[in-house]
Amino acid sequence: MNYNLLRQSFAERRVSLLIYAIGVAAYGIMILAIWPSMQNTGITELWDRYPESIKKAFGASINFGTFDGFMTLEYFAQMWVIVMAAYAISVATGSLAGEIEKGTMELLLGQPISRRAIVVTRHLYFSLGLIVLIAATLVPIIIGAPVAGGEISYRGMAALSLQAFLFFGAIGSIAFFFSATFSNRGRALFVSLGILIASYALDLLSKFSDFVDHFHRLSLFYYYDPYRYVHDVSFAWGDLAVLAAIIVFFTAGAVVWFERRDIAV
Amino acid sequence: MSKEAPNIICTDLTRYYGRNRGIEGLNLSIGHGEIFGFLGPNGAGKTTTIRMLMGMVKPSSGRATVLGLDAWGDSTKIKSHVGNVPGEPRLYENLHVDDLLNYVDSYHPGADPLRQELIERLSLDVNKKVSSLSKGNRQKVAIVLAMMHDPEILILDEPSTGLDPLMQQEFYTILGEFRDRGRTVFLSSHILSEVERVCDRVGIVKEGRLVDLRAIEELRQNKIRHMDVIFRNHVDATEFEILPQVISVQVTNNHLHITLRGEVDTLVKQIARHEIEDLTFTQPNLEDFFMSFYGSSGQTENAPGAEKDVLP
Repeated sequence: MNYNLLRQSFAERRVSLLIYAIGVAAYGIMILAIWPSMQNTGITELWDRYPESIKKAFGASINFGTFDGFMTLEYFAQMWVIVMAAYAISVATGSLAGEIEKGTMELLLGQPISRRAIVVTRHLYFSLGLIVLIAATLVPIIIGAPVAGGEISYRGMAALSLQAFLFFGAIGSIAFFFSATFSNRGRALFVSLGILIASYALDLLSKFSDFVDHFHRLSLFYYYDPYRYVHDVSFAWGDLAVLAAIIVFFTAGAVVWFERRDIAV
Repeated sequence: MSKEAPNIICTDLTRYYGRNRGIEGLNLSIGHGEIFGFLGPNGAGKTTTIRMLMGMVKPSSGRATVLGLDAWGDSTKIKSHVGNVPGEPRLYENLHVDDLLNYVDSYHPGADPLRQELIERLSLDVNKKVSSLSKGNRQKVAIVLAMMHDPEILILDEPSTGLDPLMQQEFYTILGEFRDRGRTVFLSSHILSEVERVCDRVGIVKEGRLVDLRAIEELRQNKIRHMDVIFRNHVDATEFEILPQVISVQVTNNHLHITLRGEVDTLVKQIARHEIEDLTFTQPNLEDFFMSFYGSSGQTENAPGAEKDVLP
């Protein structure tokens, strides 16, 4: 790890991190603000009348009538995933392939800093950014829930934080690997996004097809179940271990690849 | 590492990109207190060599060492002692120049003894944002970034690109001072006059191979140049043809186009015996230089002492 590079990474990307943080916080507060008006509108009955296939796709076990169920369906399993995944892939692909494409990697590698330190430090910046965004999302919800009349479990939110950190960390680590592989950010972005979309499609299809369900574990989304954590406060340690293993495997792969490749900007 | 050992050594250094040749079988040794010019046309393999010296690109075979350390395996250690100006410097656009200097400075704990001096001598405005800089000013920033820590070795890829003539002059002076402090400079260029002006020794690279290695004085003496003289009156060409430095003389009325190699003193004195209307003495460009000196095969042609052609 290199402290100078870490500081520069924050300085360079502080505006985009701030925008992401404001975005996730504002969207969460907006969903929170809707909750009081949704409570007495018969939303649970409406949810119950949805076709089974739709409920399956969104998570049949989720109780839409509870505050955490509402937040999961309206935010944690939808928009939040999109924004956080966008952050993960954007930062990861910009950190290595993006710098090679812009040509600034030559300046960085002209300094006494090892390639390993570059990958590890950039990954650390990404991980710290994830923590900032998770906190920016959940802290306003934790503070605002009693005001909005919602019940929230602190342990559940802490559990969700851990799961989200590992899930989005895994997405970012995969993107880091491709960022270390390519000299063009667009390619790294394309492949990482492709894997994410394929993963989502596999998750969705496996809820409708028994055959596809055999391959469900190959989807990253299989390991992301926010309602289980936020409502049941139940840790799926095996799933978390898989996500952690993905992070370690792809980050190590990024280091090894980046150390051996040519950098010709 | 021994102080007497060369600072840069390339041993059979070769790099291919798939089937495309970058550089092949390069053998070089550059000592302390030397400015070494690496001269060649675009695509000759100069930048590939620099990238291998900087540990950006791994050799296909052979080895490069810098300060006795392997350029690929020990590149992190080497970079504490090396300053580099890349061929096309790319900088962090959203930083101010001063912040960029501070940032690079943070990787070299200790001192930046030349920072302020270089900023002043190159007339660099450090309060500007990098994105607003002209090409010339970006080049100045790259030069300050590479030299402000007074590194033991400078590796420069076409460093004077974009600098105006005054700044080029100042830059060459700075390089000379650098050499005088015992530092080593590896300077890649396709500008013959630049290499001739600042370097002590030159390696000429063509189509991926080092075709010549000689002291700059020797290069200067053997270089073919052209002189155009318009006399006020008719002058007999034979009085110039007999001079040992003259290779050929073309005559058009009172206009003589003289091709010569080596010193000009005798020729100028001979010309001065007549009344002159105009005189131009052109430096050959690199292509002329290669054609006259090496031909397309890289073999020496028109070697000193070759027969003279006199074209009426």
